[in-house]
Amino acid sequence: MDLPGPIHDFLLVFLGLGLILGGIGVVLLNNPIYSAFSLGLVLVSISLLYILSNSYFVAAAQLLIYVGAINVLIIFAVMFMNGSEYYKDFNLWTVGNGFTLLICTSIFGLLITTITDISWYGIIWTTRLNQIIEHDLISNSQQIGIHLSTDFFLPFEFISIILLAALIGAITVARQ
Amino acid sequence: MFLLYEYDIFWAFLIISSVIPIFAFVISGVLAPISKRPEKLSSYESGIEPMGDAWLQFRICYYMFALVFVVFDVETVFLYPWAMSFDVLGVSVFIEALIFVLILIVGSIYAWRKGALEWS
Amino acid sequence: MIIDTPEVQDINSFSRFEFLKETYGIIWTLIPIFTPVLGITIGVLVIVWLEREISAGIQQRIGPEYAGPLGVLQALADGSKLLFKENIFPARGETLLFSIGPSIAVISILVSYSVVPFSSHLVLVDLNIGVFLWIAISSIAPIGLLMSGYGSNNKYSFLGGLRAAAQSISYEIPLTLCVLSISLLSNSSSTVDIVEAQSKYGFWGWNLWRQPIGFIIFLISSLAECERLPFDLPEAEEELVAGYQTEYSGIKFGLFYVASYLNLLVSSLFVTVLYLGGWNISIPYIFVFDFFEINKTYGVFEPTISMFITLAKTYLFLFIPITTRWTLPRLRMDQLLNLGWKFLLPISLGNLLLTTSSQLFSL
Repeated sequence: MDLPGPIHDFLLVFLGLGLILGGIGVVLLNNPIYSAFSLGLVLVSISLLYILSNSYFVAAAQLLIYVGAINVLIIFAVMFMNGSEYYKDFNLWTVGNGFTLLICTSIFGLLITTITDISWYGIIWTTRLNQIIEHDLISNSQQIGIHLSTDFFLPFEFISIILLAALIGAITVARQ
Repeated sequence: MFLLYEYDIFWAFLIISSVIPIFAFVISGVLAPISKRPEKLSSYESGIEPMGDAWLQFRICYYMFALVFVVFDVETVFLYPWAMSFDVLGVSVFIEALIFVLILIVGSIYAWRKGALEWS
Repeated sequence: MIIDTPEVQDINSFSRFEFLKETYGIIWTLIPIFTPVLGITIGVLVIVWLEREISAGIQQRIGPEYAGPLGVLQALADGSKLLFKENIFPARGETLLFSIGPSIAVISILVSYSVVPFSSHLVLVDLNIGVFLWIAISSIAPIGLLMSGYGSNNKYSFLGGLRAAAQSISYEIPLTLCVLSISLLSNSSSTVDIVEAQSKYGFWGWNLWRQPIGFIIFLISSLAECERLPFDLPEAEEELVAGYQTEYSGIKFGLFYVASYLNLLVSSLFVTVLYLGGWNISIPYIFVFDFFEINKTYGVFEPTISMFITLAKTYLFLFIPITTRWTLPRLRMDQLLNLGWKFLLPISLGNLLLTTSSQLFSL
């Protein structure tokens, strides 16, 4: 990204703030529909962060799949539950919450230690070199396509089988 | 990298277009009159008193369509880089994508037969 | 290390100069952005006026007449009237969601203008995922509609929002697959590349001739995405009053109104770019090129002509959606979904496979 430093930092802080506030909103808001909408905020901020780091194809895919499809699905589901008055009698603090808290804290600690351990300079230089080599020939998303259909041929086909299984499973569950 | 100069314009455009609604709200907040009456603020229900909560339970079909949509959306995302690298790779890629699409067509035929695409 | 004072001063002044240059650069990037925003606004006003005039013509009425010559200022008058109207928040609604909903609808459509090319250099951002970004950004819009439908706390609004979201997701897949076929033909998703791939054979090089099925599917699904008749189920007056906009008044209603026309404009701009050859004049055997060669030295003339051609094609195309509005009756919900999932989706998949195999032979 070649934005002037301060603007870049400002955007980074702003998007990070959106991300954190949205995440807190998802967990803490009482109305599940508000939670679902703030999940949308989180996903949009993540996608904008991808754009900020120049991986725009991933950003567009994030917007299309997570915001456009999965978040809409979640909102539908929550609205559906909302009508049936299912959620209204739940305790504020259950065993599951404590368990989740434990897992999340441990993942957070693990990430922090990993981030401080990695030598980022090495990674930056190798990726920069690769970018310079590959950038002249073809665009970013073209590279994704080429890798997808040569090196990752089998995973590519497995994805379609997984999608098929997901479709069949979802239909079977929803029909009951 | 100077090649990526255009992204600042993208950000500026994004910021400006998010400012536009706020700007509109502010202008109309200054200009518009305010006169609150209870009848005016009640929600519209063809002229009679609103009955019950509006957040009613709707049919599950909406949810089914969204489910099928997620699957096809993921599929198209994977097909995009494939389409852009098609001229580089040729026949083998075509067969791969054919298998990919055919498996999903099987899925959509299943959804069709099971009535997931039915609005009944 | 010893540094002389003049050198330090030099460095200081240099950094101040850099700062000035940065500020100047920011201002310089803002100007070419405000111009398209202004242009887009004028474009929307023109569409509103066109729609009123054409509708009047179809129904043998006179149409707007008093505001300005031929009523051209009517749309502007309508818009400024909405600014002066009271903003009513329904008492039982959720105020926050109620306000954010229309904003999301407008922003998500406005941002997608950034990839529309008006000339080979007159494009805000020439990303190499151009059209894909358009599809991705426009898929946010249903969330805004769901938000406003929920936030109104009105049965009509709620059902309208749900319907809008369901309709939008049903027609997005055929639309995406059509765009996919186009980007397969031009081996790129960049909007500039797509137009340039059509520039070879003049009129006959348009993607319209290579993708007739795709064009029709794109037309139908973009009408559905814009919620225009015959697909205006989310705001069907007889059943849902005004759908998700029932409770809206004043400028918030205005935002929805603007969003729907912005969406119409961007769809027809994309029809021009994807199928009708974009900024190319596309008339073979007329030697406009000599004409261009003369004027190339000035540099301003060519972008202006290109922009004029793009806009002319776009507005000529707009006659189709506007006349369709007064020609076809509204569909039923089950017919709408059947059309999307059981007709357009298989056909657009078939179209994609057909395009792929024809590309295979031309390799």
